[in-house]
Amino acid sequence: MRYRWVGNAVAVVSLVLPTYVSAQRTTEAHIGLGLEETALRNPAESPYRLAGWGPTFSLGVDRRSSTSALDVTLRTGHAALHSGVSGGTSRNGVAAVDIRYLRAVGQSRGRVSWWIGTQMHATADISDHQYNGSFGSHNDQFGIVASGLGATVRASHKLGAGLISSDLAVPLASWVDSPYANLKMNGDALRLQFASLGRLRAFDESISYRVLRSQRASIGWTYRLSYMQYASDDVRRFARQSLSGVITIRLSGREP
Amino acid sequence: MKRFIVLIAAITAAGCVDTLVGPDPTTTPAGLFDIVWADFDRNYAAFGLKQLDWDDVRRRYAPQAAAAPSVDALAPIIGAMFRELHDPHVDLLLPNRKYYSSVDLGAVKTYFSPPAILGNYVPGSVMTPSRNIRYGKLASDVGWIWIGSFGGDGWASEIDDVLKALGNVSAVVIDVRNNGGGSTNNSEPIAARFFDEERVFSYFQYRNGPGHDDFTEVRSRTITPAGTHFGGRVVVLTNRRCVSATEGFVLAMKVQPGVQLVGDTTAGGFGNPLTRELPNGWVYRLPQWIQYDANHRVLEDVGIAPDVVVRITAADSVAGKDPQLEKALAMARGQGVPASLRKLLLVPARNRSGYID
Repeated sequence: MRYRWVGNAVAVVSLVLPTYVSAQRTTEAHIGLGLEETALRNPAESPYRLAGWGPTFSLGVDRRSSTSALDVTLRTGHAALHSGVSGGTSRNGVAAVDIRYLRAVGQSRGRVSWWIGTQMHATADISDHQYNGSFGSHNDQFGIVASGLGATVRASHKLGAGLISSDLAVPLASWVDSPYANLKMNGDALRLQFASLGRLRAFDESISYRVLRSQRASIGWTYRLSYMQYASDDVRRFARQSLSGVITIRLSGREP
Repeated sequence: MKRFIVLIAAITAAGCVDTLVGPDPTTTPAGLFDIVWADFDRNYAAFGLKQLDWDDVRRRYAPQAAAAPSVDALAPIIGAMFRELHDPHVDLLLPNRKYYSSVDLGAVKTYFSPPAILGNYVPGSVMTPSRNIRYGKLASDVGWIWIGSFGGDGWASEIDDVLKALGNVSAVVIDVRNNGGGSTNNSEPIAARFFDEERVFSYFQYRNGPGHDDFTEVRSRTITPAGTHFGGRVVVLTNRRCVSATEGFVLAMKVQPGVQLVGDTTAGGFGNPLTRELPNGWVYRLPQWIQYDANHRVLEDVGIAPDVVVRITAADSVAGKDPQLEKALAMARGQGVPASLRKLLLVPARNRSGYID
């Protein structure tokens, strides 16, 4: 029962993929590397905000036609966090997988192309808090794992010699494992529980610009802002913004 | 088109992650008191055992905190509140080394004297590189292993070298007196050297909800034999300053058939604490679990009673005598052991079955 969502997700993907591979399509791979600012406030870890900077890396593949697109993206990030109030330090790591399927819904008068679709996502956000107090140096882990289904909307527009696009995704149904205190409480088990929209609120907004070229490779940048708020017995907030340079390599098909 | 760019710029400008996660709570004495009190209310595991009305504690101490003229003046107020819990894992430590403990184990007189042991009982003892284990021979056939602390990381395997160095002794006395605990990453691997098969030695529940009675399901802790196995007779020496991971070690050794405990009752603090940080470098701890022994008994505030009680007096200490160690040596040689136990001890460890409680 706990992992029924995995079966549901597989069913959705298997319904989407057959209709998808039949049309003429372009397939591209993206590799991004950038700098990310992370801020979190998890009362289980500390009453104070922990914030800091670190590298972020993304790897993605998208396949699209003039009417539909399927994006698969893996993102990781690492940041050294610090509380300006308590002086506490924490090493934060995040890993996220996004699978988005979008359909073109037309162009507005400003020649902006609009797409809407669904998103499957899974995010693990783990902090390793370093206690260097005089009780002896030790550490403790805190965090959240969230996965589920959501809605996504994309707007894109040709700008000069490039293409600028904005993607917004929000989860609508989520399954969350966020231990009451530290990760020790879970033992080795993942304990996902359904979280309604009232309990888990999040968004993931990215703005990308890429230079359109006839060559197979092109460059661009992506600004991303994401936020997740999980309300259980307390409210846990995780926010990130990053700016990455992105290399896109066309694997097959034509330039969009 | 302009609208589109403005929209993008607006979204970008709004990307202040600090704003998204919200402001920090206040750092006034009253604000800090609220954080500490609420943290215990939310996470402390032993309210049910302590029979303490935590709301009443707030009613009595919050006005004092609100009246504190400075944050420094708040520390003794929190310290007094902690003493109400009488829990060895509840304490507040300040950067200036000022320490407010719920239970002052340092004030417990055990008369345990390492110099007396080293001078009169194990003159040729050796310290391991981590300085956490000292070992030698109490007699030609009885080894002595003193584990002074289970703190730190990465040294537990030193016990293998110790057991090899002791050679063909038929018995060992494991002395954990005054051991204030440390990490189970050390205590459990060391215990594993004396286990003949995998055994459950304890159970536990984490506090996992806002109610004082909210706990996870009961889970077990097991030890599996590992490393250099010692199958001879084992006597574990304890006293009233044995606490935390050391008590976990004693609980573990207690379930291995044939192992005997001698000395005094342990401190009774099993709490597995969370550490917390406050402004000004303050750090405090609070236990987040309830631990049970192999028979599902809670020994918090009770301690683990030895099979044979022996205490050291002030006069013993002055005379350089250690009657606990002397008794442990006698028991390691099978002397002064109840007939029922002696029969069991004569059976090689690998062939033993049953349980000594």
